[in-house]
Order: sequence, then C-alpha cells, then structure tokens
Amino acid sequence: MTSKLIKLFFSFLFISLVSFSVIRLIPGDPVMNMIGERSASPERISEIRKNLGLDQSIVIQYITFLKNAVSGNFGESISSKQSVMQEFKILWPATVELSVAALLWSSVLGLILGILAAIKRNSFFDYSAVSLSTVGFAMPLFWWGLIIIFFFAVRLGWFPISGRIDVVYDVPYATGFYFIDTLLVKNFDAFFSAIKFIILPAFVLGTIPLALIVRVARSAVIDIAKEDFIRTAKAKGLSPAKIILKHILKNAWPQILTAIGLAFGHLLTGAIMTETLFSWPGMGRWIVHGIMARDYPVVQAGLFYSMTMIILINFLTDEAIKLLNPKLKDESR
Amino acid sequence: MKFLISLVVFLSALTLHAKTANFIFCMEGSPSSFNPQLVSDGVSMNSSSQTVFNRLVEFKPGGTEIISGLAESWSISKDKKTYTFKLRKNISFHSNEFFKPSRNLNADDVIYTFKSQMDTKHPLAIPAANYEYFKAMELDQLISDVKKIDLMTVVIELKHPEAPFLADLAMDFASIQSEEYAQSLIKSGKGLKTLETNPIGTGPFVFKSYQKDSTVKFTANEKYFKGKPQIENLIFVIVTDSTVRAQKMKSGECHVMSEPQPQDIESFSKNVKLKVLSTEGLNVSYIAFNTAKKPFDNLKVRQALSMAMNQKSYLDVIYKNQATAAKNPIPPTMWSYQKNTIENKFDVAAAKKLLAEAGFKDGFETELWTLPVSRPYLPNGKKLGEMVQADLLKIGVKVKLVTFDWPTYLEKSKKGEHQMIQFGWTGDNGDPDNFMNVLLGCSAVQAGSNYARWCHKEFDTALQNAKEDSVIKNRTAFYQKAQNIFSIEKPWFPIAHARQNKVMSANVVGYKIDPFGHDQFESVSLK
Amino acid sequence: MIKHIFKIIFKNKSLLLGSILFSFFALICFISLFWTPFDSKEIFDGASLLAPNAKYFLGTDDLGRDLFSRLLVGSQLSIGIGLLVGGISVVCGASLGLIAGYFGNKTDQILTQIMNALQAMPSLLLALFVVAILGPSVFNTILSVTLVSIPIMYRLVRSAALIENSKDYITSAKAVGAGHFRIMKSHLLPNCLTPILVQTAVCCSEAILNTAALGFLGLGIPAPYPEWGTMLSDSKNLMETAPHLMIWPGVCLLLLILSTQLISDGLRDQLDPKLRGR
Repeated sequence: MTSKLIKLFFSFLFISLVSFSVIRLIPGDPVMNMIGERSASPERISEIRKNLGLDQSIVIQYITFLKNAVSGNFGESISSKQSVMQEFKILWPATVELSVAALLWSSVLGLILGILAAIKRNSFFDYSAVSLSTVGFAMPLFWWGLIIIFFFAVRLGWFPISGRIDVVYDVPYATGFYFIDTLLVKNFDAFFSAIKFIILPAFVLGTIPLALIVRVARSAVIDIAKEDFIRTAKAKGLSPAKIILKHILKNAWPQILTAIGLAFGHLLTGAIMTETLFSWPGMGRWIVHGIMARDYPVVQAGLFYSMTMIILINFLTDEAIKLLNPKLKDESR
Repeated sequence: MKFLISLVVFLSALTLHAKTANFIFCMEGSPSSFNPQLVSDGVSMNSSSQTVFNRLVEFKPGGTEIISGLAESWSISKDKKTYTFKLRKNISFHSNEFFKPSRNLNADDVIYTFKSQMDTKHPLAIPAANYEYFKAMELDQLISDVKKIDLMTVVIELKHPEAPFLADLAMDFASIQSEEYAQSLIKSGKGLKTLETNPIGTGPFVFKSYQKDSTVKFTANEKYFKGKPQIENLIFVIVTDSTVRAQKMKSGECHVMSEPQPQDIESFSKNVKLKVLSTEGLNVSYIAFNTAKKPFDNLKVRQALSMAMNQKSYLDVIYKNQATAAKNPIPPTMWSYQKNTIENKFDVAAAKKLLAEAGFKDGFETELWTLPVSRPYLPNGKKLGEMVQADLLKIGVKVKLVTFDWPTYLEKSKKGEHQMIQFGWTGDNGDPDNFMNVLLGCSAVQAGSNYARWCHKEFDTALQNAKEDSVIKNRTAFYQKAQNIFSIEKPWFPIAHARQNKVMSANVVGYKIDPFGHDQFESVSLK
Repeated sequence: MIKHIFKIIFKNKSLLLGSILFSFFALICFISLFWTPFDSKEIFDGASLLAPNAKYFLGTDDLGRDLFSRLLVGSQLSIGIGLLVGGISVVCGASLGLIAGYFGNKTDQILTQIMNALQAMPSLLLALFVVAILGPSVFNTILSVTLVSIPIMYRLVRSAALIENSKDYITSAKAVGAGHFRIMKSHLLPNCLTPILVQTAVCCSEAILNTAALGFLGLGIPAPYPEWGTMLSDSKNLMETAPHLMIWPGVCLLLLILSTQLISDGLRDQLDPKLRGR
C-alpha cells in the first residue's frame, strides 16, 4: 500500500509539472491578447508581464505554483481577475451535476435494455438494442449535439438552447449543485428550471455511456446465464424472472459496475464537447476558454484538478474491481 | 372623491411607469474587469462604466455631444488651461455587502479618481495597475494638477491647451470612483483589487453579481440622480457563440443582443417579434501587403493583386451587404473623407498583364494570414481568406492561408513576419488621425500597428501637418491629400466598413444606438 | 486463403456490414482522387447556399462551393488519417507494448509510467494541446491524434504480452538461448495478434473522430481542405437557413466511424473464441 501511495504522490508531482508546462509551451503571450490591434511599446508590455509575474524564470514560477497548489491557491485568472479557486468552486459542481445526470439516465436505461436484450436473445428487440448501441457508440458527440439542439430547442422550442438555469433566478451558493441549492431555499420554480436546462445536455452526454452499458449488461447476463448454477436453477424449475433477479444480477454486477466506472471516464472527455455546445458553465468549457485566452492560472488549475480527478477515479475503480473480482487480480497489470 | 382621485393617479402612475422586472442583454464576451479605469474592450465598458458609473461630463445618449454628468456646470479659463467643475449635490454612491457610504459625492472622489491614475505611487492607486487608457490618451502628460477649491468644486489644470479635453473626460476611464470605498477596502484588508470585482459607482444600476462566462447581474439604483431606471433587474448573459446568441434572440431568451452576424440580419428583419437598429460603423477592414517584403515592395504587384480581388463578392458573401465598400483608410462618415479617390477596379485580364509587367508572368507563391477571431469589422476571416485564395489563383498567384491563435497572430504581425494579412480597426475618438496615423504613419511601423510596414514620406508629412494644425479646414485638406496618395500607392486592399447592428425584441422601447458602440439601458424598458 | 477470408467475412454479420460500408467509403475516396463533379475549392459566383438541385447534387455552401464534391474530397482526409494513424499506432504502440511485456521490470515501469501520464489527460484535451502548441496543419493533426491512440494500443499489447511471457514455451525459448528480437517476433507477436488487429480498427475510428472533433473546435486541418469536422463547425452558423450543410458531413462521419467499429467488433468475435457468440 505504501508503494502505491508513493506512486500516487509521484503521479501528482508529474501532473503538476504537466499542467504547469503545457500552457506555457503554447505560443502566444497572454499580454498580446490584452493589447489587441492597438500598439504598445516594449516597456509597457514588459511592465504588464511583470505584474502578471511572468518576468520571473520558469523554475521560480513553477516553485511558486507548487507552493500555492499545496495551499490550494492557484492565483487569479488573467482574463477575469477572479481567484481561480473561487471560480473552480462554482464550476466543478456544474460538471459533476451534468455528468451524474448523464450517467444516471444512461445506466438505468442501459441496464434495462441490456438485460431485456439478453433475456430475449436473438429476438428483434435484441437486434435493435444491439444495433442502437453500436450506432450510439460511433456517434460523433458534437454533431449529435447540434442535431439535438436544432430539433428540440430551435425548431420545436421545447427546451432552452443553452445555459444551466434561467438567468432570472438567483440561487444562493451553498453546495454549488443547483438541484440541492434550489431546494435548500425552497425555490421550486428554479428547481424545475434547472431540470429543464439539464435535459438536453445530459441526454447528449449520456449517449455513449448508454451504448457502452447496454453492451456490457447484455453480455454479462449472457455470460452468467451459461454458468452451471443457473442451469441447475432452471432445472429446478425456478421462474425466469426470479433467476434473473436473484442469481444472474447478483453475479453480473461487478462487471456492470466496472463498465459504469469506465463510462465515467468517457463522460469527462465528453463533457468538454457537451459543455462547449450547450454553454454549460463547467470545467471543460472553462479549460478550453483558458487555452484560447492563454489564461495560465486557469489552465494550470483546471488541468491539475481534472487530471487528479481522473487519476483518482482510475485508482479507485482499479482497487474496487480487484476487491470485487479477485479473479482479475493477476490478469490486469 | 379624494379616494377616487388618488385611485386614478395611482392607476395612471401604474400604466405610465410600467416597470420592467427582468431585462436580458445577450453579449458576446466576458468582462475582463469591472474597474472602468483598467478596461479597453466594449464588453467590460458596458458592464462597468456604462451601467454602474458616471463621469463629470457625459456624451448625450445616442450622440457625441457633451452634456453635464456629475458636474452640474463647468467653466474654462481664457488661456484654456484651467477647467473648473461644480459638482451636483446629494449624489450618493451605491452600497454592497461590505460597504455602506457614509457621505455623498464630493471633490475628494474626483481628485482620487484622477490622481490615482496620474501617479502610480498614490496611496490609493491599485498596485501593479497600468491605467492603460489614461496613459494612451496622454492625460498623464497633459494634466498638471487636480485641486479642491471647496467641498463641491474641483479645478483641473493643464500643461497646455487641448481642444478635445472635455471629450476625454466623458470617456469610460474617467468614471468617478468613491474615495471612501477605496479607503474602506484598505482598512478592511480586502485590498484595492476588489475594485475590479465589486464596483461601487453612482450610475443607474447597482452591481449585484458576476458569474464568470455566464451572467452579470445588476439592480436598479433607487437613488439615481436622473431618476430610477425602469428596468428592475438588468441581466447580462454571456453567449460567446454568435449562432447561439441568434437562436436565443429568436426564442425570446434575450431582449437585446450584441454583434449579430451579417448573415442573420435578413432573417431578423423579417421576424415580426424582433427589430433591427443599425448605423454606419466607425471601422475599416483591409488586407495589408507587407511592403517591406518582396514582391510587395513593387507597386505593380500590389496593383495587380488588388485588381484580381473581387471586392463586391466579398461584400455579398462575407458581409451579406451589411457594409459599405471601402476605398480609403477612413470610413465615409468621418470628416475629411476623400470622395474623389478612384474605386478599385476588378479586372482579371488587366491584373494578369500588370503582373507580367512586374516580372511575374507565371505568378508566385505567397501567404495570406487570416484573422482567427470574429471582429466587428470582419465577421469571418477564414472564409474571406478562402475567397481571396480562389480569386488570386486565377492570375497564377498561389496563396497559402496561414493563421494562428489571436495572441500569436498579433505578436507575429507586429514584428512584420507576414506577407499579406487581414486586419481592421475600430475608431475610438472619431478623429482621422486615429485611423491614418495609427495604421499607416511611419512611426507606426516601429510600434507595430502599421501592418503594411509602409512608410511614405509625402503621406507621413501630410499627416504630421494635419496634426499640428487646429483649423478643421486645413486639416481636411491635408488628410484628403494623404488619401489620394494612399489610393495610388495601394499599401492595402481596403475591404469594407461594416455596419453596426443591434437586434432587439419588438417590445423594447427607449434603446438608442450609440456611435461609440456602447450599450446603455438607463432609459430602456419593455412595452 | 482469400476464399477463406471471404468465408469468414460472410459468416460474421458485423464484419460483413463493416467491410461493405468501409469499402464503399474507400471507393468514394479512390474515385475522388481522380474525379469529382466540381472542383472542391472552386467558388461559383452567385451560387451561395443553394438547396440540393439537379446541378449541385447536395447543394452549395455559403461561399458557393459544391457540397457533394467537398464531401467526396473530405473522405480522403478522414480515411487517410484514420488508416495512417491506425498504422503508426500499431507500429509504435505494439512494439513498445511487446518490449515492455517481454522485458518487464524497469523498462516496463518506465514505459508504463509515460503511457499512463499520456492517458491521464482526457484524450481530446491532449490532442487540443498538441495542436495548440504546434499550430494547426495536416501533419500536426496526425501527430496529435496518434499521440492519443498509442497508449491505448500499448496497454492492450503489453498485458497480452505479459500473459504470454510467463508461459512455458517462452521460458524454454529463452533457455535455448534464442535472441530477444527473435522471441518477440516469432513467439510473442503471433500470440498477441488478436488484440493488435482489433485495436487497430479501434484506433482508426478514434483517429477519425478526434480529427473531426479538432476541426469542429476550430483547430483542425486548415482551409481549403474540406475536412468534415471543419465543415460541420462552419455550417452551425447556418443551421436554420441551410440544414443540408449540417446533415451530410455528420452522416458521413457517423457511417465511416460506424464501419470501422463494426469491423473491430467483428474481428473481436471472430478472433477471440472466448467471446464468440455474444
């Protein structure tokens, strides 16, 4: 365990180095972005650079960054002058809220479809479920998102085009999750508005996880159904529903959970596109904007946090899989 | 009876002052700061100086005329070097969670506003702030002192007379800040940086909250000296994607939107729920030939390329005719515009012939840098690039389209690394010097904003002469001469002067389009 | 041999469908090298935003270029990049994976650390950074997309090689004194071929998707190449006036990605007996 923790520590050191350096490798000075078409004397430019702390050597900048990162202080955004920590505090719940919503509907529907398809194997329903899942898996998210926006928001006008909640509502910050915060202040209109806004992006974001979960659930159920004890159960004359609920699901859930963990990884990548498409104020959009504006502190912090999140999730799912499924222990890594 | 009268009065009051609860303005970007002294972009000015603050004198809404602002009246001395301002009484600053003003506006606030920008060592100057705009207008060179005569009288002394000084004071960076607020920030340990995130002013709206890249919220200032605005909650929604902005406008999620794309204007005008206000823009877009590089040092090459470019098709396709064709470096609405210069002639055969005369019978290979961002003067640089590429191929010139991210584009082009480049300009004070000297003067080659890197003696002399003269008639003659030279020498291929359009719901009343491009909401309401 | 392959393909539905779809695109791509209805770069005067009609089969874009010709030429980019990236990641990813699996210990640890680091960033973000650093061009797009797909290939091959490496025949080959390269080539590689083949198809589809995604975010292959993702991003301004501009590039993209994924599914079913019949 200690060696694992040491490994984890080095991973953190490494991602800090990566998140610090990648944005600096990109050509283009944040100062030029601020000046625009206008001309500025070299003295003025160096003055601005000094104020942003960019005149110091890279090593010193990195050490400052590390020191601050430990204390959770990532400086101020160059483009908004707000504390990066403050911005992060508001943005990460948005991403998590969207991802969880997407994961929730896709796993519920995916499980149902997958299990039904497995039971009615080789039926028309099975084929349609498998085909749909194959198409869903191949779907380019950005195009899918455009089509969904075009039909449901622009043409039909059933849902808002973009955003997270109707701008007229003021939700006081408590947890950052609108679904919780609106209920805390008992503002039900705002709560329903938040639901209305999350439906389209969560639908788009959940498409690929849905495809994944349908597949995994289906094959997991089929796999277990082949095992001897199921045959015995069948021979004993237990009803199919009982077999599925009692025996098959009990044995298939480690596989399914693994798939859901895997889907979460897909979600974080998908969130970048979905947030950009729906102007969802989350971390993905934040980082992409930061890259475009050469906002060093934002990109540093954004990358650091999202990479940490991914590493932690990977680490935890790996451990969980090993716990749940001792057979896999020697096979994977 | 008395009751009846009061009822009638009450009802009529209701109908006359139908309050607008929520008003939503969809804008194209996020503000960079809420301190108007430190910003130079339209979005930030809309979110700070135009809503939260006032100035000593102000521009008349919808015009360029100067009217009284926080100064009730002013007088100018005979030598034109001393300006005396009488302040309005009983003007109170806004309050927020951590600041309640204990006194009304007085001379100290005015002195603080100017002195902190003049002197970086001023105790209330924001550490590490540059006060870019103040310096860019050279006010630090011009103002010698700001003095308090009595509590409500301020005197500003200049080192030399300067005609447009009063107009300078109406500009955004001269917004009057509260000295008491700055002091309280230092005392409470919050620091002067808070001025950038939590502005306190005297203006029609009180700043409420900002959620990055999402919304800025304001509420009506009950005690506004020109009367409480009709909009109760003013909400700026940040929608960077112009398509999404247009869709939100159509679906009724916005009341006013900024920067509509030219291709959407037609469908906006047809839509009965919407209306479009429009005015000539104070801008120009162009393709600059880098005259410091071969073969663009050759006038014949510049002429040939200009003749091969189909300006009309660019206006049709890129601007959807929401622009006027450009032939001079300044827009036609500006004084001294030379009407008599010859328009660019589109003639592929003649262009080929000229190119052959210049020694490029088979054409040549070159680069065109395309604008990576959408600007008011050029909505889509990439598409324009593709059109120019196709046009020039017809005379044998193979163009490679090059683009960088915006900061790199600026950095490299200021050093003159390009061959041909797309650029443009939006004027900030309405003077021809602000266009021609900044973009084509010899000194601008060094500074970097002369992207043609074109230094023409005669042209430059005309500009300098115009600058030193104060008689409009003489200046006009000099500028027109300069435009004639420009038209012959062709350092640029001028493209267009884009119109400024604002789209709003049909029930918006009181919105006036501002020549400087600001959006003001103090007298706006919904029917 | 060829007959045998055809037999397999016809028996396996995913493989059959995928192969047909992919061959269709490959054919289009091949034809477009020599012939398109119009020049994909030519701007026709006054032909801006035409709806589909007799002359312009799928209509024209906002500049007045033929959409059908652009789609055809666009297939060259997507298929070309897909195959190229698939190929490069096989060569790099698989050989690194074999090396790591075979040598184990330090070599394995170092390589795995590097690959883990590359994977720690969401793939799209990594590609975005690479292109942002190096600037958009065809070469840099390929580079960034490859960099994203190598670690996936590496991980798979490595774990397959690890399992094989512990088996007796390798140990005996080592004992006999066969050279490292020979063991890897003639013993390890053939036994890892299944995951490699399947993964190549996956890399191919990921590459096509990521190329288009970069194009959509405005950092793709620069004009005038009609890349499908860039065409999509250009058309989103016009979705109301000219929906055909938005539909077709997306449909092409979806079908091409689908074809590669069907092939990889089919290969998996065919080559991995454990999974057969799912």
